[in-house]
Amino acid sequence: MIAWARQHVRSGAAALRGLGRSPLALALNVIAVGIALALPLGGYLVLENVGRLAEHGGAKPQLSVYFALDAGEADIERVRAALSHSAAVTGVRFVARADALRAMQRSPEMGEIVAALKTNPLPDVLIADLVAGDPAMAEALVADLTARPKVARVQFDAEWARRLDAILRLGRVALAILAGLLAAGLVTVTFNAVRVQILTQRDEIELAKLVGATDAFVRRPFLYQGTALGALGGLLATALVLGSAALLNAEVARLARAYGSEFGLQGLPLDEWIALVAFSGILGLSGAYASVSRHLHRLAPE
Amino acid sequence: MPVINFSRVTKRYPGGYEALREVSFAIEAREMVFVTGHSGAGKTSLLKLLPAIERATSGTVLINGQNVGTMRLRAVPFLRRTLGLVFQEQRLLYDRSVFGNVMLPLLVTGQPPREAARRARAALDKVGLLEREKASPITLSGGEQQRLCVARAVVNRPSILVADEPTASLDAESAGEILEIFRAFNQVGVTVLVATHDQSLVARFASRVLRLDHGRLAP
Repeated sequence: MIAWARQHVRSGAAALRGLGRSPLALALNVIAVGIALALPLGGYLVLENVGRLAEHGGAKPQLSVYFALDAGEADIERVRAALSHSAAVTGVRFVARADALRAMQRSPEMGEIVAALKTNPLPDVLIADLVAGDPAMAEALVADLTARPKVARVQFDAEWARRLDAILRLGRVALAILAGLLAAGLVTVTFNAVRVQILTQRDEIELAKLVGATDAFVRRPFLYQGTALGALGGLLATALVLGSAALLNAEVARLARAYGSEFGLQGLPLDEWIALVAFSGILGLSGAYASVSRHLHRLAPE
Repeated sequence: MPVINFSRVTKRYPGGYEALREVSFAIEAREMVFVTGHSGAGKTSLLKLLPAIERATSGTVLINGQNVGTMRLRAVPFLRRTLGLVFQEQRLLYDRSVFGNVMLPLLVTGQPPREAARRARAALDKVGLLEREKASPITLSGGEQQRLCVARAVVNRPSILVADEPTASLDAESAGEILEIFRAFNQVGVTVLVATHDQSLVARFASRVLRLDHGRLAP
């Protein structure tokens, strides 16, 4: 057990020395992996923030129920109760037609027009705030309300919510494809880096096999190298995305303030960064494993 | 029981070239045996069958009773650890010191570092290279390089030492030194098998000789 651990520590050290022997090649490979990972990661960050903006920004989905002019208090109460009980609704506000008219009379542009009216043409209105991100539930609610007595019209701006939802979905699929392609790129980069390492250490590998090295012994340092390359690339990607977000954030905050919002870009939680570095390490490991398996037996004098 | 036992061994390479034909012999423990023959007689082919670098086309090769020809690939490294190999092409690593070259087989077998260093120095001492341990192999003379190869071959204390043309590029004096080292190992119980085309060297030792002629063992 101790011998086994010692072998691992030794080949780990040997692997890192091997990487350190050609720092330029190492740097180029890490940069290639880092940039490849930074693209989908940056995209993910943008999508997360757009989703958050849609939820917490000014554009809360609202639903307005316009009543017929002859609607009674009982009709309105029934609708208000239905809204309050719906899971899609976070808050309900009532605007009485008389109040609405008075508000219009006070407005400088509308005042004169309103004064010319003989009767109040405005209906009673219930305005409900809805939870974001669930257009289907909102539309079911609209259908239910429209069918009720004395409800003249239910207005729900479903279009923008549906569009945003569609755009976010599209973005996520595109991102998944991009991430898949670049993950394959990462595997390729480590495959090739390990191939070059194997070729430069060809004499040593052949000799080691002739004096009784097992395949596992020969393979191990290259697996460490691949893992280290992937993980370093993951760290670089993290640094690139965090750095870019920090640079952009000042301008995003300025833009948000111009719209009266406190919105700012938000990074990802620590556990997601750790998962990313671990994942890229695993990709590096699999690239190295494929490379070693492919090239080792060609070298072996068997 | 013989340490090495060849029984009607034929080695045919892809393309049909027959390097060995129906070769049979046995080597007992603690023997020192020379394999001689003209260039292309099959000496190297014969030696490559021992560590399973090549496998026999037909016939059986036994080492310590183990059939090398049918051995699984996973078992081959452990067979090789019982053999000390001196290669015709030397295979020294020039990116490390003399000491580093002798350490490699010990790293492969996972010796504890202190024990490994002790054994490496002991092996270098036996071939007279201890004071050159920090040197690069490229700075050694031909004879010294060959002695380094011998040190690397014996550092894991093999029971069988196999050398392919160990004196090929050496002057008579250096060649004699190498063979004296082999004899010293043989005297402490190591079975030694040396391939050489140099009849004059063989003549100086009262050892058994296996003479190969066009892939056949001459009587």
